Order: sequence, then structure tokens, then C-alpha cells
Amino acid sequence: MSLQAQGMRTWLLQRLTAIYIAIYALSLLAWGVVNSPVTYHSWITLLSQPLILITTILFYLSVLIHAWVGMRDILVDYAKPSSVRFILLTGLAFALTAMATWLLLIVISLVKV
Amino acid sequence: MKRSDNRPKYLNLLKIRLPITGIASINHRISGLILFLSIPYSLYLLQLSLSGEAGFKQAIASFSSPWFKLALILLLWSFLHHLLAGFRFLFIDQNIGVSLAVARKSAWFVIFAALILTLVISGVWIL
Repeated sequence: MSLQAQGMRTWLLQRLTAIYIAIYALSLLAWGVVNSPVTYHSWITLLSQPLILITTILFYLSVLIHAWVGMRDILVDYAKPSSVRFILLTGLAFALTAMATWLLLIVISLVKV
Repeated sequence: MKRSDNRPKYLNLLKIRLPITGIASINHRISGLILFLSIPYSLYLLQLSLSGEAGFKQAIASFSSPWFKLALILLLWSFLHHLLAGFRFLFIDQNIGVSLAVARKSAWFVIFAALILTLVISGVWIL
């Protein structure tokens, strides 16, 4: 894939994840308002449903991808010199991967219940 | 790329007066950064809230500390501004509202709507 096409792919990925994040976040907030006050029981019942669990995993993955593109834009614009930028981008990738792993552990603990 | 001209560089951040569209844009970045920084805490709260009845109560109780409320209001503004400014950018991507006059109006709208919604929602649910 050419360099231009990669930029196009990143651009599209940022928009698609944005739309998914908006829909999920507003839906979850609406659920919270409708089912207020949220109890432990209603919360765990919600997140234990396979469809909700999958949409939640997709939400976090979208957030992490969206954050990668956005934070990368910020670092590319402001972090200088390029050695500092490289270190920060590496740290960002490490942090995002760690967060994805953390989410995985949370999901595993939930499935076992 | 090496510039051979000697145009002055003027990067005193306190003296640069951004146009309103620029303010909407830089706020989009700042709010995005704040939202990024909040991801680990959201994971912590998610884990705590799912760990059992006691953990859930502890997660809910953390919302009542004054510092947490302050952070939550900042986070609420970040979410609202990022959401609204994001919609604005999506419209501009579709060639809707690209003209300077409309772009300035939509920038004012996004900035004020985010602030007003933050105040209203904070007043009703957080404070």
C-alpha cells in the first residue's frame, strides 16, 4: 500500500472510530439515565450480555485506535527533536497496548463470573 | 526542507490571537489529550465496578470526592467539546459549512454549546 493510501486509511479509521465511539458513549449514557440509579446488579447484568460485552470491547478498541491517531498527530506536530518524538511515540504505543491488555484481563474476569 | 527566506518566526503563544475556528481546533486537541489521559482511570473504575458489590459501591463513592468532581467536570467538558467539534469536523469533511462565515458561526456554536452543556449537566448531576 502506498504512503498516500496509508494516510487515507488512517484518516478514514479516525472518522469511523469517532462515529462508533459517539454512538456507544451516548447509548451508554442514555442507559444510565433511564436505569438511574444504576446498581451493581443492573450494571453486571448489562455487561454480561454477550452483545453488550462485544460492543464494549469494540468501544475500547475504537478509543485506543482513535487515541493512537490523535495523539500521534499531536506528537508529530509538537514533539521536537525527532529523537524525542520517537521516544514519545514508542511510549504511546506501549501505553495503548498495555491498556488493551488491561481491558482483556477485565473481560476475562467478567466471563469467568 | 531548508527555507532560504528570512521571514520572521513569531511564536509567542501569549501574543498569537487565534481566530475562533482556531480556538475550536486547539480545544479539540486539548480535550482529546485530556480524554486520552482519562482512559487508564476509566479502566480502573470499570474493573473496580465489576469486581463485586463492594467494589461497585467504592467506584460510585469515588464520585463524591470534591477533587474527583472537579476532574469529572473537566472530563465532561472534554467529552462534550470533543464530541461537538468532532461532528463539526465530520460535516466539514462532507463539504458542509466550509465557507468562512459558516465555519466561524459553527465554531462559536460548538465552543458555547460545550460550555453551557457542561455547566447544566454539572449542575444537575455532579454538584
